[in-house]
Amino acid sequence: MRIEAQQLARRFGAFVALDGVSLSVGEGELVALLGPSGSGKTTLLRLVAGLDFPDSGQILFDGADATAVPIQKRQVGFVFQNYALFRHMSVGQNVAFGLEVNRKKFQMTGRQIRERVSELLRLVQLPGFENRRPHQLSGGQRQRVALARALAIEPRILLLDEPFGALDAKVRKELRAWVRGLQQKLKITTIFVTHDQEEALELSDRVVVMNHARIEQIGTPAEVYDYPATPFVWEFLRGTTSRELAT
Amino acid sequence: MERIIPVSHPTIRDPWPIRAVLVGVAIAFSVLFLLVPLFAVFYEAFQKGVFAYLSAIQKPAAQSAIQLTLLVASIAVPANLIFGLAAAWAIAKFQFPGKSLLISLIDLPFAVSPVTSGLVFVLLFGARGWFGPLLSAWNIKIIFAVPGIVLATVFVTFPFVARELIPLLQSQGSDEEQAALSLGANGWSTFWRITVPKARWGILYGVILCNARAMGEFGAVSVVSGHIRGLTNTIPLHVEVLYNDYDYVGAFAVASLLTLLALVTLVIKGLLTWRMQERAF
Ligand SMILES: Nc1ncnc2c1ncn2[C@@H]1O[C@H](COP(=O)(O)OP(=O)(O)OP(=O)(O)O)[C@@H](O)[C@H]1O
Ligand SMILES: [Mg+2]
Repeated sequence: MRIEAQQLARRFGAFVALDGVSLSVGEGELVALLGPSGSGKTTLLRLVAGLDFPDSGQILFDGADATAVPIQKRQVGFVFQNYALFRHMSVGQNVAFGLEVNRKKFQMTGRQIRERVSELLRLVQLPGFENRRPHQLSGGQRQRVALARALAIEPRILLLDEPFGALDAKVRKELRAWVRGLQQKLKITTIFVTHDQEEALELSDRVVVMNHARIEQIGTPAEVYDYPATPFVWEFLRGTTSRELAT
Repeated sequence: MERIIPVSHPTIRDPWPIRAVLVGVAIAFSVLFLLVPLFAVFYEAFQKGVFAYLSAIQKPAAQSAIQLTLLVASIAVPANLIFGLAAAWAIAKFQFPGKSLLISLIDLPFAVSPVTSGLVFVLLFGARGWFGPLLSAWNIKIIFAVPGIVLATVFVTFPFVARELIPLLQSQGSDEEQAALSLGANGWSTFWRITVPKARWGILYGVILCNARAMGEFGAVSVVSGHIRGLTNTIPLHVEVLYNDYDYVGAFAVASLLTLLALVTLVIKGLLTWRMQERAF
């Protein structure tokens, strides 16, 4: 699905978190939102998801206005920064949740749901983990359960908020190559947030560089790296301090 | 390289005489003010034997007091459970005008003396109260009747569930709720499938304390009840009546029921505290 954001603005009291942000994401594209802490990445992602609503501006899904559509109707898969797994449920129940609460829509029997859950767990390489509890999993495994849970509702778009932020460097590298592979296999339009420039450049089709509630530049990894549009982009992508800023 | 000092060991060690005195004082106080009264209740209750104890409890007035207490608790506890859930949810999840006022208001019953609480209801619903004429015109009796006792108990036990749940829900945040919404759940099923199960031990904890107070409340209930034997006496009121009649075995036998309730409450409370710590990660 195509996503268009037009002149999105969001204020919290007097604080401007998004200041006229426009962006379009093509069918099946993987776009990275890159920027320093507090630049408005999560805010933008939440507006696209329908977890929050803009003060002004529009969001279009496949050309149709979705600005006022509530999150339940948007069919987006959202993976939270801290995964937000349901801690009182097993892994299987977590993944099944979206199918259980939408039984009317999905028309699935209990058995079909169980089959779908084990299929999804195989997809995220956690076969047979149905009866584990979230607290019995490692960070990387929790992340994949969150992904399986989001994919269960057959989302039209996938939104990932710092999906690898809480993982150590090694797991992070493995997992992001794997997520990229999965995204290409499923051909699902995806936006992910990161403040790691290497991650953004390696993983995405296009990078959106944000700073102070605005977009500084949008382009392919090669474009933003070789032809930075502003001093900030240059500094953030190559500056000696940027690596420390990012972590 | 800096050496890491394990923090689990106390770094300050008091000399043993000080420790001995502090521990001794703490134990002496606990024995004097907690264990001795506990023992005394059961000692007095069984002073004339098990048979006297059982017959004191089986007297009609005692039985009706027990029934009334159970009735009142079975209304007050669910009412405050529903209120506490709703209030805690609203306070933890939403911003709205008057929120801090609501938080302070929830604490009001803890801040006000129970006698005052009772008097407020007399002032409102008593024969000469604000709504007195209206109520007597419709032939509804609240004060010196069961409805007044229920009202006073609900008021006094109002904060328990809400107080327990507000910080719990606040600390748990709303990420899981948002995840549920993003998976297509509506607000109602998010509340029942996510918020309530997540807070279930806290809810139970609040209910247990609420129940203990609902069954044990004396002051406010005493004001509105009118002490009509067999009709408007709850267990605590009945204990006082028996005591004033010099029926010590009866008084302590009935009081021992409340004491048992307290012990059971403490055990469950301990288990729940342990359970909640286990689950917090
Ligand atoms: N609900 C809110 N109320 C008030 N201010 C908010 C709220 N949400 C976000 N903000 C502010 O908006 C700004 C942008 O926040 P946002 O979460 O979008 O940043 P971010 O780019 O995702 O940062 P990070 O990399 O640290 O996650 C921050 O300064 C934040 O304090
Ligand atoms: Mg963020």
